[in-house]
Amino acid sequence: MKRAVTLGALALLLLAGEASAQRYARDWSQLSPDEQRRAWENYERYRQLPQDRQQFIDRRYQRFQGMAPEEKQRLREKYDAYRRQNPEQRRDFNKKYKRWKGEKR
Amino acid sequence: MRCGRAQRWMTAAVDAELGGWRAQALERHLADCAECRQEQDRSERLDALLAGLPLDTPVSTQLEQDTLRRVRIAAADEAERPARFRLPTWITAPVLAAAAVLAVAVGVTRMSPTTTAGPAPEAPGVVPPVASVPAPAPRLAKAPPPRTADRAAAADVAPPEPVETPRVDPPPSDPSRRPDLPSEPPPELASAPDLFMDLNLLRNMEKLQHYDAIETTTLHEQDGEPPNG
Repeated sequence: MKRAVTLGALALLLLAGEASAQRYARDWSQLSPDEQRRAWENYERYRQLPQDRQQFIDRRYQRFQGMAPEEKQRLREKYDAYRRQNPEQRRDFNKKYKRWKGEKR
Repeated sequence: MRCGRAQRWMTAAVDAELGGWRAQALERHLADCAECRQEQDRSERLDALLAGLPLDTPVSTQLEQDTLRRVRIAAADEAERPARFRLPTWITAPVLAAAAVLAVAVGVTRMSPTTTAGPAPEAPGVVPPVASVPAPAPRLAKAPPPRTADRAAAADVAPPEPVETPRVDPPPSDPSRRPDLPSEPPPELASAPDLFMDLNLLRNMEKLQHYDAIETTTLHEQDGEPPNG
C-alpha cells in the first residue's frame, strides 16, 4: 500500500512537471509582433547553423523546458546581466569562462 | 583526424563547448596541422573582433538593409562561381563576415545623430531574414548541411555569446507588413517559438548556469597559462 502511494505521488510529480513545462511554452499567436520578428530572425540564424549545432541547441532547449520556473527565471536574470556587460567585461568573462571550463575538465 | 572534421569542431571549440576526448583530439590535430592552426587563429581573431563591437549601437534600418543586401549579393556570386575559381571556405567565410562587420562599423560612425534607437532584436547579426517561407520541416528534422555561402553566414552565428552587434531600429509593429517577413511562420517555428526567442540564451546556457562561478575565476596575465603556474 505504502509503495503504491509512493509510486502514485511520483507519477503526479512527473505529470505536474510536464504540465508546468507546457504552461510556460507559448504559442506563436501569443508572441507580440516584436517577439515574432525576433523569433523569425533567430529562426533564420538557427537554420544556417551546421546540423550538429542545431542539435546541440535542440538539446539545450529540451533541458531548459524541463527546468523549474525559478531556475528559468534565474537564467534569464543572468542572461540580462551578461548582455549588459560592456565589451571589456565581456572579453574578461569569456576568458574566465574558458579558464573555468578548462579547470573543470 | 581529417581537416574537415577538425574545422567543424573548431566552431564548437571557439565557443569552449567542445569537451573531453574531442577537445584533446582537436588539440592533437592542431599541433600537427599548420593549415588548421591558421584557421583556428583566424576564427579566434574574428571572434575577438566581433566581441569588441559596441553592445548598444544604433544602426538605421536603411544601413542594415544595404549591408545585408551586399552580403547576400556577395554570397550569391560566390555560390554561382565555378568550383575551380572558388576560394576555399576558410578564406571566404571570414572575409565575408569581416566585410559585413566593417560595413556596419563604418556606417555607424557616419550615421546621422538623429537616428533613433529602440528595442532591439536579441542579437541582430549579419544573417538576413529571407524573403520566402522556408520549406516546412518538423521540429528537430534537420535541413541538409549548409552550402558554401551558407557556411559564410553561419560563421557569424557560431560565436558563443550574443555577439556585441549593433542595435537596429525598432521593427514595424506588424511583422506581416515587412515585405521579407511572411505572415505565416513555418511549422518548425510555430511549434516552438520559445526556442527561437531564447536562442541566444540557449547558446550561452552553460555560462549562465555557472555565471557566479565563472565570475569568481581568477584570470592570469597570460591567457592560457594555468593557475599558479
